[in-house]
Amino acid sequence: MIKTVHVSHVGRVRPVNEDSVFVSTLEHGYTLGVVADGMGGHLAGDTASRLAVDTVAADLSSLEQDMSMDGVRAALGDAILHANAVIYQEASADERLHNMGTTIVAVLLRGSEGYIGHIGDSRAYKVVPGQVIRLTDDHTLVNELFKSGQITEDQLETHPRKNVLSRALGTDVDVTVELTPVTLGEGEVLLLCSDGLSNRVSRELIGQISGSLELPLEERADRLLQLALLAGGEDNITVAMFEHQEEVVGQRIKGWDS
Amino acid sequence: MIGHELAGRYKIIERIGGGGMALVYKAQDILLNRNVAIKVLRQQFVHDEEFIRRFRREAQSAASLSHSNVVSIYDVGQEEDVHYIVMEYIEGQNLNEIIKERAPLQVEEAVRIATQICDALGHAHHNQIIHRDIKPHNILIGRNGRVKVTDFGIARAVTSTTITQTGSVVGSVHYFSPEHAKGVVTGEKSDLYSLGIVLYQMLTARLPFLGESPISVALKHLQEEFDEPREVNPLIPQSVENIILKSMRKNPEERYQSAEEMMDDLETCLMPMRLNEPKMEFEDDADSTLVMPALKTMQRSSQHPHDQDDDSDDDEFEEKPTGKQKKKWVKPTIIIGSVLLFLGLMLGVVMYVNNMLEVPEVKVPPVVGMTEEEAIRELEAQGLTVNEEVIREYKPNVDEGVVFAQDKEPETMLKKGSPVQLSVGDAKPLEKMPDLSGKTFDQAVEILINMGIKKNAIKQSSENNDTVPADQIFDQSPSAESEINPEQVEEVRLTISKGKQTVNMPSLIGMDKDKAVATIESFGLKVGAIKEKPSFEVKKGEVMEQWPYEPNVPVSPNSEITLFVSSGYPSDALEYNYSVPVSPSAEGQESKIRVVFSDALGDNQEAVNKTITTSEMVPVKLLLAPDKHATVMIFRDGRQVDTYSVSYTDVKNGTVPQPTFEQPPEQPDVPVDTNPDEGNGDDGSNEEDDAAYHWDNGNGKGRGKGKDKDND
Repeated sequence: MIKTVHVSHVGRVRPVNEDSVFVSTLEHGYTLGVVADGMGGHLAGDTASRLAVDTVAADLSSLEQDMSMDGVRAALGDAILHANAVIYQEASADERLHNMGTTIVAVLLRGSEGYIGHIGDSRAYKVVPGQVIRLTDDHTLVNELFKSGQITEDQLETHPRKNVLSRALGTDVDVTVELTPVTLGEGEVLLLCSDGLSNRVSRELIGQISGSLELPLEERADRLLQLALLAGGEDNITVAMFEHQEEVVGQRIKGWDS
Repeated sequence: MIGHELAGRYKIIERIGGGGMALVYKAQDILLNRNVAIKVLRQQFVHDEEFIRRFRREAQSAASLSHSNVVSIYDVGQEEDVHYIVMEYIEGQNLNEIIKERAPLQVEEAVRIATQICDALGHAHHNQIIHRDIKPHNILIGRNGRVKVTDFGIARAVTSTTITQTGSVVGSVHYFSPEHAKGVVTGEKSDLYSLGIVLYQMLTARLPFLGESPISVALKHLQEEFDEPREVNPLIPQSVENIILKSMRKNPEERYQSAEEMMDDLETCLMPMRLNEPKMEFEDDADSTLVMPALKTMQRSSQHPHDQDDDSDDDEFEEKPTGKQKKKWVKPTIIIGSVLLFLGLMLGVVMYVNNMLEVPEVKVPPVVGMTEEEAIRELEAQGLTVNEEVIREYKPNVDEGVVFAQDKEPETMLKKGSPVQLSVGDAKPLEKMPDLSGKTFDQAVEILINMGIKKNAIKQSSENNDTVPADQIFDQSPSAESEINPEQVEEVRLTISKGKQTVNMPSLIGMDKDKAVATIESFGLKVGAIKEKPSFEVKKGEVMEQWPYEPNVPVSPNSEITLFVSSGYPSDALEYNYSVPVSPSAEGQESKIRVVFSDALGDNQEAVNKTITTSEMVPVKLLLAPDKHATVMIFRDGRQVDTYSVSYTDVKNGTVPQPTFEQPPEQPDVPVDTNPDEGNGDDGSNEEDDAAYHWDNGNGKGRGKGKDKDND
């Protein structure tokens, strides 16, 4: 069974929370999680991220039973592209929302297996005992510079244009969603977050806290949030966590049959 | 917003543009009755205090710029939620529109535009303001051809604020410098790189780096070479290509070190002596290691150390392993491959010959009146080719770039692929600037206007010139013989001589000698000679005359001034104390007495004017020269009663007759010579001590009686 939790916090500096998050256990054993980090200034940023989350959540609210993994992949990809069209249209129609956009990282699991779709620099991590694996590749200028050998890994963290995205949801008619398969084994945790967390809390610490299986999942999410706030909290902070909890075999089968 | 009166002063007329951050309106400044452009910050940013603060600060610092090639910022303000910048309104186009419309531009025009942008950058850099977003959209060209750069500093406000904290999408990066793309510190040289790209685009009608996403363009700035401008447009002179190559070096150290340096190059690049300039060479080795991705270089050098500096074979690394694996297949592959290749070639030849033999005919379309590009497109669409040597000729009624003749008449049938010769209107040939030196301003204006230069483009200034007479032109810009397009000349500056530089001659009369000398020197003049001259009127040591310039006459600096300084009374002058008797009409009665005398110092000097009741002696100080006798006249109650004459000879010889009371009226016993303290009575015996002084020029010391005595 997949246990979920999510927190979102405005942070210590900014007046508005432009992050949006949606996590839900759907029928037929599907689990959906979406984190979006909006941009574009007053009204625009939070509108963009809310539209992204709402559109994806609505599109995926009723999925047919037992889709193939390809079907899961396509459903998630289509929902995100639909969100792109919705945001782009809204932005074009309203002067105040000009050029708004958002990042998105979403996961759609059938049981413990599924896909992650993302655009921008919101991230997905998989935490297995003793290890934290980053599943998403940031769509940022600095990451491209790093990949092409122009800057070093150290410069990635200190670059002045660190926040510039190379790809965003809703700013252009066309966008490509990067889709990555994911499988959660028992005792493994999937974490989606906005850069308010990943810029402030080290990957090791994220892994260590997320992997503290003896703590309730809510407690772990809250500790991550507190750490980001202690580190300054300059940005909005959003965390969504999905844990594949070990349980009695019978219960699990029962759950799937329902 | 339209029709709104912003801050009660700017009436918004219409929207004329807008970018990611702001909207731009044309408005009327009601107070000054002029058009202005108003940049209004988009609504979604007005709640971001940090951003607003920066926006205003950058706008204010940009407002400090004052340059004819920078769009002036008049005002930065806020009305409730509306934050705005009021700017100079430029009627015209932006460079992006011009490039879209008619690039490639003529070399002269492109260089002229680039020069003015460079001038603006130089001014801004001098004031520690980096533009950071030089691109054709930010360059406005007024109706008069004047280039104006706008949006100084705004780019900085946008990128360094919380707006980008969450992230923003990379904007237009076509004009970004490599260091800007890379995110390291941008500086003056980054602006010069961007200007190089703008120049490239003006001359080639294309951008050096294109890609499907901003990121790929940014990466190309960092690591790819661009097509050299002359490969795209062979009409670009080498000297101009060199400017582009140098300004677009990836390594900032290899670029121009300052806007001034680039400006110098731009200003001289079209001069005849730079016609045969060689292509600029750079040390490519250093450059290729700089742009080569670090990872790739490492992999390659471990496998093929020998081809490290050969960067044309990027694919080699990937191909090699497969080659090794399939080694046993190499031979048959080569044989089969060669046979196929041979057959392919044969087939190609056959088809080519076939085509040659059976060429279909096509109808020539009419292309006169089209632009050159349109005509070429039209002809090529018909399967015809265009003779590469397009005839370019200036025709008064044909716009530049428009076809006015084709050598094959429309509707004639031609074999597909046949060449068509096009004649295209050219820019008006340049005229030579005439030499205007020696002409008056009015004459020059007439000549220039006859050439077609606009009257308001002719400016004058005047300067002193020691060799050119006043009102004649002695300097001009553009210089004589330089090539100009009279209709497009923006400014002809004529410098007119004011004649020699002069100072107003000061008045030195009455100054003492030392002060006069100091005054002369303080006016930049020279003291010629100082001559002494005796004078009755001017005190010894005072300047009595200046030569050759009267006061207030204009005088060239360093002119020599001769001073005439008084040496006092002439040496043969004699001073004599004389006494005349005066008496009332009746003793005891009041009478008005006036004693008037004439001597060497002048006629009709008054010695006494008073009312007396008793007779008395009145002393009169006389100065006598050999040619001037003295007379003393006495008036009583307005009537002349007595006249005395004193001759020089008598004074010299001590034989002056002493006047006495003729008719001692009531008291004749009053002794005549008991009168004043001065004791004039015994004049004869007193002569040496008292009556006469000898003025001795030799020792330079004059001595006088009376008031002069105090000075001794």
